[in-house]
Amino acid sequence: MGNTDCGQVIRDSGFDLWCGDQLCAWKLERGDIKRVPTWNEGDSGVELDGADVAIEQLTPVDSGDGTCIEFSLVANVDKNADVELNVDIYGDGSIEHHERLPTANWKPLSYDLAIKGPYRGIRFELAKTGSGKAQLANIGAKTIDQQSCSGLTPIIAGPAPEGAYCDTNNQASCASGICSLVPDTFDWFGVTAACSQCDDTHACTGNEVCGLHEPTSPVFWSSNGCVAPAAKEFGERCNVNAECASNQCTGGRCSYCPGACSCTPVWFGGPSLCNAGRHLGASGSPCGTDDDCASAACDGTVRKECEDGRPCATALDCPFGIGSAAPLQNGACITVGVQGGTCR
Amino acid sequence: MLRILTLLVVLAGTAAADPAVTTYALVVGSNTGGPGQTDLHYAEDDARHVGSLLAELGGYTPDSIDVLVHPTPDELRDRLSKLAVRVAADQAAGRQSRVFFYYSGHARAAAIDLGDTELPLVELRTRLFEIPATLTVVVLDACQSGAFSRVKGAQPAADFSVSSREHLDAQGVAVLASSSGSELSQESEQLRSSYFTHHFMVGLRGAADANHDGQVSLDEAYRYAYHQTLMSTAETAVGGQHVSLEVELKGHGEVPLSYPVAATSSIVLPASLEGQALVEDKRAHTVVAETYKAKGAAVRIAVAPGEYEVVVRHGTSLSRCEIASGAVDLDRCSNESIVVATTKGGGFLHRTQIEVGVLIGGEREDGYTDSLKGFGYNQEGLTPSAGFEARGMRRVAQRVWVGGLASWVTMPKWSQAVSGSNLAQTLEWKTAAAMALARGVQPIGESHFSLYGELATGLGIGHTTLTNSQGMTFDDYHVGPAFVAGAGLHIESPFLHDLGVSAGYEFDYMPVISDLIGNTHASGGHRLTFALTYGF
Repeated sequence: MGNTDCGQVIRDSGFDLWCGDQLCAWKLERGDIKRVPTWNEGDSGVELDGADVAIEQLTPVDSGDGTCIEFSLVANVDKNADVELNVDIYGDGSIEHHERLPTANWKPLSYDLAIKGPYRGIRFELAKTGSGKAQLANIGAKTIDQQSCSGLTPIIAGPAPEGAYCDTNNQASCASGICSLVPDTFDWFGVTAACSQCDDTHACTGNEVCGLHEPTSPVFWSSNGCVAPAAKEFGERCNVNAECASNQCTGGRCSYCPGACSCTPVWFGGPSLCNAGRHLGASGSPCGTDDDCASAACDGTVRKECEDGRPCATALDCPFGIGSAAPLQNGACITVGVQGGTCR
Repeated sequence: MLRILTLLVVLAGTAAADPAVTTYALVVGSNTGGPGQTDLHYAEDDARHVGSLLAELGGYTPDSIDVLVHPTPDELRDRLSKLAVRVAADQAAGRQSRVFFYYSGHARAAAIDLGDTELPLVELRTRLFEIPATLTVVVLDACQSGAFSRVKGAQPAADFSVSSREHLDAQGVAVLASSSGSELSQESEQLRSSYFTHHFMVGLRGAADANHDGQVSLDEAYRYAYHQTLMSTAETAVGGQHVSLEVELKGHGEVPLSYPVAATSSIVLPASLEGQALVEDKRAHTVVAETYKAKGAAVRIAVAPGEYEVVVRHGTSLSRCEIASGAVDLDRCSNESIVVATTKGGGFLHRTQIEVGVLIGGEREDGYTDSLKGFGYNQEGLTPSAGFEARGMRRVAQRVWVGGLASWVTMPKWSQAVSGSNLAQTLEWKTAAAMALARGVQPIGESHFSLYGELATGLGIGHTTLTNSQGMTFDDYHVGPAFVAGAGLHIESPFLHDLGVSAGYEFDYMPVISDLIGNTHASGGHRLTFALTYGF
């Protein structure tokens, strides 16, 4: 249950968690929504307001958590509203399964979903068309006993997209046909198998090199991908030296340690630099923090990262943390240093 | 639980004023109960008062009246033996004699209880009847005192329809018992006496003088005591008490028991007065006499010199009247209420009762709670519903009480964890109700225990408070009907007679909590109740 909250898969079932003026866990795809009272004035649900509305939530649940999931909600749906539950495994945009919600007057509904593993990440989408009213509350999904799904036809996801976890013995499970090992600092062995664009036996075309692609989704990991040579700035994530402008990839980050020097990370898990943090960097030399420069000023792009190392702008880009005590809580978007910085 | 007030009167065939007749009275009272019996309050006082009355109006000289309070069986045997010796001496001297024996106290079916020890009725009867008096009158004031007659082998006294007058004469034995062989005898807090002895004495004071000849005969005293005791006890929870009279007399003429005409002072209840009249001693604040006065003839009641007033209850009206020139002045009347009774040895029975208690139990599940579960709420732990109740009741018939019930109950919290956060929403709910109550009570034998069953209905208010994940609270109130059905056990304290405890079960039904989507919760369920009671 590493990616669930005691088996619970969906966050904020009652639309109670707001990050500023946006819902923290739910994402409005199209149309409008509004909060509405349900059984009590103080307990809100959401109304899909309009003729074409959709909300979605991507969850990090994977086949290790379970392959039988119960999706439930309380629905108040008019006969002139067509509301569907869409299940998108991997959250790559392809809908593998859908259920049409019946007309209901605040009726509890539940659907058992058998999902063929392995998989990681499911995007649940609730979409409404039609002019009728559709109000939803207490939307939840939880992994349940496998026997509950016996007899159900398993939902089979299409070939896994790049960045999806995969089995190296089943290369065909990836859309690219390549399941290769990529560095993973959170894995015991330091590597994870992910669907990739290239590997040692699948070279890139042109002059691109097989480097590292940042994950495109919170449920994906980084992958081996074709990148322009010597294009990544100091501090960006990398697999090989050739993809870094400094021609040095140390600890999975484009680093800069020419010659013999004390080469240490500028932040934990960050790029390495000669005399990092000693205020010795001359003007124009690479830096990751102000402490690296004699001028105490490191100019460049501030780099923010989620717990899993993905670049982020706000906490909304980090919907769940890695290894957090409560994995369904929003992770933090933390400023780690400066990317491509130079001392002033 | 039996208090025996035995008045054994051996009367000489002539009036008390007849110097040829020697009179003796042995008057016995005992408050102490035997094993399992509650002490009486007024038996010994009653004995003292009877002794005084005999001296005042009965024609007895003080040295011929032996008042024996709280005796042991041996002490009573000793006094009976001495009495027998004195009477035998009179007989030997050719003098007629009469003996009046009165006993007030506990009794069982076959014995009188004198504290921890008993004196069998067979022995008492034998000892009394062995006294060689010309006339013996026995007055027993005790539970099942009519059993004295059965000991003798006679049938229980018939109701008042039997004309005993024709059989009375100057010689023989008469037994006047405060209750039948199966009834309980009762004391009155208000009268500070047993009902029977009080009415018996009031009768001897003149209220029983039906023929207005200035003296009260045994027959008149019986008739009066029979009606007045029955009327006074008819509304008590124990029930009506029937005075009985058994006679084995020979000869002709009435047997006078008192001579109120000889009293130095008296109170006249005028002919036009009608209702239950209480003659109260203004200084002692005690009831000297209670009698039902019918319209049509004046009644004279002999009293000791003093200051008195008369309270008259007629229907629902109650008047307090002044005495002017020895008679009730109906032009100077102004209000009050009474009657608290206890069985002789039984529990106290009040007119009004207050109960304050707690209740605890489960909460009913229904569509409302199912809906709550659907919205992700769960009851916190196994906490039961609990609250307070207060009842105020008035007894309106022998075993029926009516009154009001107020309750306040809080139910267990329900909460919903907001997934993906440490936040939660909680629902707290409570109800309050005010209801009209009817309760039926069935005493268990002569014990302090009684069973009850009750129904109540009225209005209830349901109050819910939802605290959402942002800490905002939303209060809702709903009004609806409320119903309670219950049963239980009530226990009067054997030491503090106004206090008691009740334990019972009740089923509550109060559909007063509603949500916005059409569900109504009938709050309540199966609950246990515990209460402290106070009666007055």
